[in-house]
Amino acid sequence: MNPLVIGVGNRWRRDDGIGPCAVAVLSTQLPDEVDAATLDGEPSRLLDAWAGRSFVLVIDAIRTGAPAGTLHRLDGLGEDLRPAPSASSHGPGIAAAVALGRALDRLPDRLVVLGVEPGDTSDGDGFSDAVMASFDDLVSHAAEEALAHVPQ
Amino acid sequence: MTHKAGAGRLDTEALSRVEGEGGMHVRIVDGKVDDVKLRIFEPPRFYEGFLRGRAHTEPPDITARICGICPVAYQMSACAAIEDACGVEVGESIEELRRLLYCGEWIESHTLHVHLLHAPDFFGVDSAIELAALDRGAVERGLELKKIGNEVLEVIGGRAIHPVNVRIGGFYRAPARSTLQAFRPRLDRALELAVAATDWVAGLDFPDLDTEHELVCLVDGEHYPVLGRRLISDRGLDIDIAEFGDHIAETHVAHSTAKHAHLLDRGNYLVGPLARFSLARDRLGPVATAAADRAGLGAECRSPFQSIVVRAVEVVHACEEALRVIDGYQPPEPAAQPVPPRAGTGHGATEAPRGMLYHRYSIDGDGIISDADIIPPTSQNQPTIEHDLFHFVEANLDMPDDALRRAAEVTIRNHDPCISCATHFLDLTVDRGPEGES
Repeated sequence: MNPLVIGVGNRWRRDDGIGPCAVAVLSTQLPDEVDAATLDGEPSRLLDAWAGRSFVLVIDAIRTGAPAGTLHRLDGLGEDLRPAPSASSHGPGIAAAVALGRALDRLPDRLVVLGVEPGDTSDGDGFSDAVMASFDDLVSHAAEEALAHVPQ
Repeated sequence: MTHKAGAGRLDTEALSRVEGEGGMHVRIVDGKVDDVKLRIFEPPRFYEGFLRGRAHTEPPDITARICGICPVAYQMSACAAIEDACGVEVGESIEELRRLLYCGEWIESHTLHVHLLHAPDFFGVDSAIELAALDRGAVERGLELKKIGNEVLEVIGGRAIHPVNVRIGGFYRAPARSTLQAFRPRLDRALELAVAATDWVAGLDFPDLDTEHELVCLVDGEHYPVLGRRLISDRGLDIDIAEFGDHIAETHVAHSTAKHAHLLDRGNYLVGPLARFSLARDRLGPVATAAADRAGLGAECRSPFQSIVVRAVEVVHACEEALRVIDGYQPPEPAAQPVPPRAGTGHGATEAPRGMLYHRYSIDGDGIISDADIIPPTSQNQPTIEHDLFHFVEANLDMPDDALRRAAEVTIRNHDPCISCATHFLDLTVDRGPEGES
């Protein structure tokens, strides 16, 4: 199956919308051999999207405590992720989806989470300056990573 | 948003496995429960405020944004209220299509709660992930069933979250009969899964506890309640939805940005699956009726713990109902009836998965909204949940705080509160006063 790029986030919470916005840009740049999707992060939809894939790239805002705008690259199947502070089913996060996928054997062979440290996740549209400054780098990294996994 | 391991941990005492977030505070004075409050710390959403000045065509799309789990409920109640204000009654074919869309929401919302949020409580585990280790097939079934519910929303509503095909008067586009027929096998499969899910939850162990509160739901003709304009209770309430404000009062409480609702001179009441089942069991479809019988449910069900069984039965019914609508489906022509504006006030209510959802709008002759009132089921149930918690904590004061906290969470989850709709909760603290606090 083609590599899949998934944008996760809420574009009406400013920097949290970086995933969907990056995927919107990537969709115009990447070849047909790369699939793209925008999801809200709800685990069952993530599981359906990525099950059976050899490579999946998730783009999301990633909170680590680093300065806003910092680029992050995490191994989604390793120990890099932890559950979100709120266990609400409205936003259980990718870590919960990975844990559920692991329990049900519904994980891709490789899962990379690429993202940017958010600075402002308040209500509204548009990124903070720090995240805006990192956006092109994020898209470039994502494109490079996805293209490297296109079957030859 | 993704969180990296090793980052500074935030307080994780938010109540898990409810829709949205919130907090609960229990105060114990001299060994007795003094107060129980469901506390809210998210800002209110101001939907009623910013609906003012908008066009009468906009509430279905605007209010759908209140919740990502039950947007159809908001769209349907908004349509009912605006059409009432404008003196329009939609035809049977549009009503049937609305019913079908609503079935999708009941399937996906109830299935989420039954399998992923509520069931872990009965297995003594904290999440569906742990449940999958104990009963992988059950979790797989829940995910498959929920997916089919989402597909109904996509086929009828255009997308699963915040459907875009709903408008006042009907739909922007009615699906072709062939489209729905092609989808029929998916609902056959859903029905099979839903029956299996009901048999599964029927075998769980339930504490012996019945709620004493008044049960309230809509009357929907010969149908199990989904749409409708009459509101009834098990204690004689029988009113037109336009009389809602004469019988049910909303009050602000200091600890919550959600308003609380009470029946005037009667007190707390309960909406939702237990109310619908207890007041309309005889309107369930035949497969759902058989599933309820097999599950041992009697003429009514007042056990908040057994609400998981009632929700499962309602999923069976929703699958049956969806198949019935598809089999008799004729695309409405036109897909939406005109709803020209008319000065006045309209009332509407429908049965969201969590219970009756009421909308009221006042509009002027140009269709501009001057006033809006939205009362979600969780706002209506919140005083009842607090009441249940008060008595539960009182009866279990000797429990260690951690155990008490966990048991109280279960008590809340029994009601599947949608905090995001009601505007929002929860982190639980037990204040035992100066001699012992947590």
